[in-house]
Amino acid sequence: MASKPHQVLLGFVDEQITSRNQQMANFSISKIGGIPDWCISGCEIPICKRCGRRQSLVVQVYSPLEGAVHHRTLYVFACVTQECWNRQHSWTCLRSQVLDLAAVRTSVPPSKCPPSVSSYGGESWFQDEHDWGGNDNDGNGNADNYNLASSSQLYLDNMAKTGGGRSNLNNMNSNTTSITEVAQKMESKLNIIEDDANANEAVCGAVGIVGCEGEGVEATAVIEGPEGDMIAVDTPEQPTTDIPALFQEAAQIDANADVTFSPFFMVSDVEPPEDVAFSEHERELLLRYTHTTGHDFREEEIAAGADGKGDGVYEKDIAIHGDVLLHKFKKRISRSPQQILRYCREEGASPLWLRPPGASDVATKCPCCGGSMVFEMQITPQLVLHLRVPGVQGTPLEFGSVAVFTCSASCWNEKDIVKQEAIVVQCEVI
Amino acid sequence: MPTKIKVVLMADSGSGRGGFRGGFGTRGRGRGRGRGRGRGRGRGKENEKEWVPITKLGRLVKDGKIRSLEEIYLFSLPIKEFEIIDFFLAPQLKDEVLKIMPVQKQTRAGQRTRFKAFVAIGDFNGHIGLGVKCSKEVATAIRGAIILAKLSIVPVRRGYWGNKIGKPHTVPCKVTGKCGSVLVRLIPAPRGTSIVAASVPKKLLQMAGIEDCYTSARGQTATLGNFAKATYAAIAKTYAYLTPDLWKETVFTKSPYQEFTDYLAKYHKISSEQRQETKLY
Repeated sequence: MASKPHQVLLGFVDEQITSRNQQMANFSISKIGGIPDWCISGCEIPICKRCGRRQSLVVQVYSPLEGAVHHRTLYVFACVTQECWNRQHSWTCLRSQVLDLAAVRTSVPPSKCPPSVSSYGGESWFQDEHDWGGNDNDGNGNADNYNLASSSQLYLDNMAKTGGGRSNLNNMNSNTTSITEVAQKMESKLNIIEDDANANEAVCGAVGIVGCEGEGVEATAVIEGPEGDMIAVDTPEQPTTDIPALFQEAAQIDANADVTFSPFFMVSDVEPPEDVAFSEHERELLLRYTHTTGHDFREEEIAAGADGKGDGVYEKDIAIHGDVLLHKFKKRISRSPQQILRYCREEGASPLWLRPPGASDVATKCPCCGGSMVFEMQITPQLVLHLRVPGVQGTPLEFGSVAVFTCSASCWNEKDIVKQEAIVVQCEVI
Repeated sequence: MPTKIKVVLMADSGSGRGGFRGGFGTRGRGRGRGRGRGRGRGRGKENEKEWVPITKLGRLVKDGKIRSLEEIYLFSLPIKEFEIIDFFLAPQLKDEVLKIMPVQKQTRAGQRTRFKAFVAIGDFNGHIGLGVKCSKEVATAIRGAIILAKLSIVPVRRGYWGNKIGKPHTVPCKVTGKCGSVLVRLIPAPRGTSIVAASVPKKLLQMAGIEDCYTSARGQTATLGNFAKATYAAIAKTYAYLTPDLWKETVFTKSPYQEFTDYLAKYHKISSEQRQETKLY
């Protein structure tokens, strides 16, 4: 899982892309489903190696890199054939870049705008002060542009608006400040960042696991000999639903037909920190406990765990289903349950694994330039609900978690059209 | 300064949820064509925390394809999302904190105190769960223990002592649970006995929906954790009690005729031809 100081950006599903807002979709926005908006024309949708079907676009993520001069978009494709679900070969990620002319003009060498939080121009905040998300004809002309500095944003505006006549191209100062950096600084100031979850924490579930280092003790039970005629029981209800069959269900799609999912825009937001405040219900439970028992646990003496077997010892919490990774995954996801994408390209970041990653899973070298690969983003299982084929009932595509690893240098020659990146697909453990 | 930042964040809602449409990454955010007073679907504070399933079973449950929790138990499918339990049992479920106590751990920098919470949960009608969680904050300990308790919910089988009148009210057999040094024995009792037990097992038995029961406990029952776990294990074991009416297995597989119909068709034809040949003679 991503270690603590990493700031993770989450993706959420937004408005449906219809004919009315279709024109807003281009390579510089993020979306799910639909057909890919290529940066450079001439790109082809990949074919599934196993069944020969053309793959369908799952997500398109616009993710230019700090200090680089390119627009950069990632396209993730998958094959909807049921036999190809959750297989490594049926998922493809393509990266496409195109030179951002405005960024080249106004760019400063990377050394001058470090991602650290120390230098952000105070005056840029004042410029934005009056920008309450108004429409285009705002004073500074940078409505919707939360990132103040680059004039390339306005260049894009010009590109899309034919004959838009936007004359106020402000020369913003190139100290690109973004909300994310400031949020980071705020976080560190207020000490919201939590500790490493693994340190010193050991808890126990209802049934401890034998042999775990947390010293939980396993409970066992035995039924004693047959009872006399006294005891009678009711027959429990027999189930009427065949659940394993339900697990095999999938949407009925014509074989070898090209499939496109319904397109939706995607918005990004910062991952919120863990919520440590009491909820109503918890407070009520606590009050009831203290009133009925009269214990004030804060004042209580530390329970003696002399022989290491008493109550006063740390016990590791392992839920009865035994899937530790999924439990941690769910705990992290629960900070913002609607998320469908997790983005974190920082050094040392890793995805939230559903299964222990194999040696072959963690990609090492970029096939093109030989440089190292870095984890960039992860698609979470919540997206399965949003992938729908118009006119077809049921789930067309299922997966557990899809992690995308990209070349850390984002290697690119000017003659290239697309480059392939590495994907690790994990299906859930039943 | 922080206040100002916060204001800007909330006011510049490019979409209904207050996020940035368009790009990801430190440079990507705020760029792109994200323009939208995105009305989205169901935006709003209460929908932000709505359950979105991440497992296949969760998706089936949310869709309403599974009728009851008992069906999941029958197929021995592990329940990994506590919202599944909430979906079926939420209105009847009652949880209670059995104990909160501080525990200490020796670290290099001295001693570190955490809070350990024991939570029992049940619907007073056939389901019981027990969760233990240790955490730095009391709130997170209670929250974590509630979640673990929900995940550990098991069905409780009840029986009749004597005549089969009314509803089952007692345990179906003598069952003993053991955890650490604590031994808890549950014994069926006639109607009207109520629960004859110490406070911890009494609470658990009541939450399980058992009305009458004799108990017997042995060992260091002062260790509440082990006492509760032993009682929980004993109650959970009631469904392992196999009565004659359960001997017949529920089969969902195809009958051999259905499965092997192709094979039968091929070979059946040959044998009928042979029979005809012999008939001629």
